[in-house]
This record gives sequence, structure tokens and C-alpha cells, in this order.
Amino acid sequence: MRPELELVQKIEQYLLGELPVNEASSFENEMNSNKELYKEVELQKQLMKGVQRSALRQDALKAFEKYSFTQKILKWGYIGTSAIVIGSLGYVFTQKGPLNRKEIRTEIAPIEISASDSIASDTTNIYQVLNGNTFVINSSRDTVVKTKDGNFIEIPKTLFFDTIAASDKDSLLIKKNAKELSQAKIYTLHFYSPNYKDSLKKWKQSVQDKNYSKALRSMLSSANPKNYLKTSSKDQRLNEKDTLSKNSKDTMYKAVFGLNMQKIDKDLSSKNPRLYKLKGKIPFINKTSKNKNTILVFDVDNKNKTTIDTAIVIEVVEKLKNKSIITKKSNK
Amino acid sequence: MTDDEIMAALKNKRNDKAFGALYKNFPVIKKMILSNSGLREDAEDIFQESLIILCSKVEQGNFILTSKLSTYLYSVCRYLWNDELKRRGRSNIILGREDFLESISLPEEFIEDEQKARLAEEAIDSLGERCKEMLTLFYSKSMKLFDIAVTMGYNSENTAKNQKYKCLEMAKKNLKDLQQKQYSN
Repeated sequence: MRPELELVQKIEQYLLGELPVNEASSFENEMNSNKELYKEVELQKQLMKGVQRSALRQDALKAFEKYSFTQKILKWGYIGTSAIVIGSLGYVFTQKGPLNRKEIRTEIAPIEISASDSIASDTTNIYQVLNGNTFVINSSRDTVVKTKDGNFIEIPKTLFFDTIAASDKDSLLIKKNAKELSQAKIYTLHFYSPNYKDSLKKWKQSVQDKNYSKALRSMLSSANPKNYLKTSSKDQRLNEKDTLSKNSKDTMYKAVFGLNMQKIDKDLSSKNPRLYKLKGKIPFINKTSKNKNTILVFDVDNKNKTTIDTAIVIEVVEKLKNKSIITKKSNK
Repeated sequence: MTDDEIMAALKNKRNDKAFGALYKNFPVIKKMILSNSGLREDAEDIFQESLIILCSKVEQGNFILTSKLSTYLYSVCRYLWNDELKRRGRSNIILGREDFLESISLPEEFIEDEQKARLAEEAIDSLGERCKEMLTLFYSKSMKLFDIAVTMGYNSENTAKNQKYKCLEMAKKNLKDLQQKQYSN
């Protein structure tokens, strides 16, 4: 190490209280007699504070974003509530008879989310390889994606192990590139958002978990991610008891699974043996979490089949309890 | 959250909770700044700065709150905005109705500390992203060097350590330049 760097190291050790007592004492004596050294120590002390401050600024910015978001919600909530009250009153007064339960339920408008081509900057190649639209859903509640052909994909909120209400950023991304969903395979890729400034404790993750996830992400991003997907659709299709309703012919898929872990393990162990040791530390499949992007890719073998060019995202109200579901027309 | 709870949250590094609660004071600050030649953006910047200052003081461990938190924040914001107006060549804050709020006078050291802290932050911010990340992980997130090496893709802990010192050296140079520039002005 260069002498200049050795000095930096010694000052740091002194400031962090890592020097043995006698060394610290002699260092202080030296500092008192050497103005230049004293200045260097002061500079380094200030810089350490500067780093803290810079990190605090990030926290303050996040708090501000949250505050602004809440303010907007309150503002629009007020306007929206007023509109709903007026609308509901108008509706009730224009009805001839009392509304039955079914009608009321149908009137609870499901939240419909339109497709967007905007691509999150941190998902890079995956999106480029698997073209298609992206749907964003709220991870804090049960959601069902219904295709035009009447197939359902259930995304229960329990898929998220942190059930605290999600903000708009904590969403599950659904990407579709499907032909006919009944023939489709469903894949899930799951990554941590690569933002080191996030507190790991906040997400109840360890550094190792994140490192493993990062290595995995890097590997998948640099290669063709399709190489790591399972090729059999058998695993994804659920049996009869899992279908949405006994009377329904609709097939329901659970929105999980699909990565070929064996291949991932093999490649990761050869490419990055050190990180491979961390394998299994992250909740990888079937345990998506807030602050992480999950990409559901609807893919098919036969590209000539009719393209499902619209998919709708609908909110489910007690769907399994009542064996019924609210539907909404295509968003196109 | 009460003032005591907010202070406890700051001490326990639960900044998100504390900052969230402190934002209830933002409208008053915004009003003060808007009525003194400022814009909403200025109010946002100044308020954020005041949160950072409060948090830094609490982290230092020797901070004793002698007034309500809202009063403290208000006083800090008023000082900061006054300072900003001076920099912009404008006159000082004209006390308005919002000054019904009591305010406290800030000690002389506060001003000096604040200026030093701003320069240090600027020196850190002018580093490259990798350096900034490295120093943040080590000094702010208290991450171990081994973990930093893994996270940032360095071959060994030793390489990461060397890199960290190089970053500090660069930051020192930046800070010296900034100080030089400030004195020459």
C-alpha cells in the first residue's frame, strides 16, 4: 500500500476507535505537534460525516416522495370520493327496484390496468428477449388475470411474504407474450431490485441473499433467459381441485414456478462457485416479495396460434369463498 | 408520533418513520418560504436539509432538544432560507404571520458545522458512483468489507479495502479543492 494510503488507513482506524490505546495516544501526541496531520484527520472526519449526510439525503428524498404520494392520494381521494358519492346516489335513485347482491357486486368496478411498453430500467435484457407488454398489479391484494379465452391466472396476495400495503413501486410485473394461454407455459423470474442503498433489514434480507440474487440476475441477464426456463408445462398446470370453480371449465394457473433450477445451479456453480455457496438462501420461487420484480412470461410453443393481444387484470372480491368472480371486459 | 417517539426513531435509525412523521411540519415551512420570495421547490429543498441536519445532530449523540421539534425545524429552516436568500443577493426574511410560532436561536457553531458538512457532502457527491457506493456501504450502512467485496464484485476483501482508501483519498482531494475555492471567494 502507498504511504499516503497507509496514512488514510491509520486516520480511519483512529477515528473509528480501532487503534490500540497506546497507539491512539501516541497518534494524538503526533497530531498535536503536527498541524498537517491534524488537518488531515479533520478532513477525514468531515468526509465520514459527509458520507452519512449523503445517505441521509436519500432517506429524506424517499420520505418526501412518500409524502407527496400521500398528498396526491388524499387530494384525488377527496375528489374521487365526492364523485363516487354523487354517482352512487344518482344510480340508486334511477333504479326501479332494490339491487340484488349479484348486481351490487358487479357494480364494484374492478381495477383495470392497461398495458404499458415502458420498461423498468433494472430489468434489461429479460424484457428485450421476451417481447411483450407489461402489466402492473397491486401486490397488496389478490388478483386474477383473465384472458380473452376465459383462462385465469391467480396471483394471490399471499405470494408476497411482506403483506404490508404496497406502494405503487412495489408491484408485480406481468409480462405477456402469449398466443393461446391455455397452451401456455407460465414462468416466473424473480429478482431483487439492485439498489444497495435500500436497507436490507427493511426487507428482512441478508447481504448474502442479495448477493446471490444479484449474481443470478446478472447471469440470467447476460444470457438468453429462456435457457433457464423449464420446458415442460406439466409443472405449471394444476389439478382439478385447484380450478377456480367446480362448475367452471376455466383452467386456473397459479402464478408461480417455471425456472429450471437444476440448470441454474449448474451454471452458477461453475461460473461463480463462491456465490453458489449462498444458494438456497433466497426465497426464490413462489415467494415473491415487495420491492422485487417478478416477471410472469406467458409463452407458447406454437407461435402461429392466435395472439392474445389483450389481457385484463381484475380484482377478485372473495372469489374463492363465493365461487364467483367479477369480470370486466377487455381493456382494449 | 410524539416528539419523544420521533427522537427515539431517529436514534434507532428508523429514519423512514421519523421523517414520515416530521413531514407534517412541511406545510408551515412551505408557507414561510413561499411568502419570502421562495418557490415550492425551494421549500422542499430547505425542509429536506433541515431533516438531514436534525438527523445528523441526533446521530452525533450530544443533541439535546430544548424546544418542540416543530420549533426546532422551523428555526433551522428559517436560518437556511435566510442564508440562501443572502447567497441569492436578496434581503433577509421578513417576519410574517407564520412567525407566531416561537423560534429558537441557533448556536454559532451550528452555522459553522453546517457549512463544513455541506462541503463534505459535496466532496462525496463529486466522487464517481462506485466510490460513493463503496463509502456509503461502509460508513453509512456499516457493511463489512468482505460483504462489500462480494456485493461490488471485487476479487478480495483486501482489494475492496485498498479501493476504499483510494476513494477516501480522492474525496479528501475534492474537499481540499472545495475549501480552497471557498476561501478564495
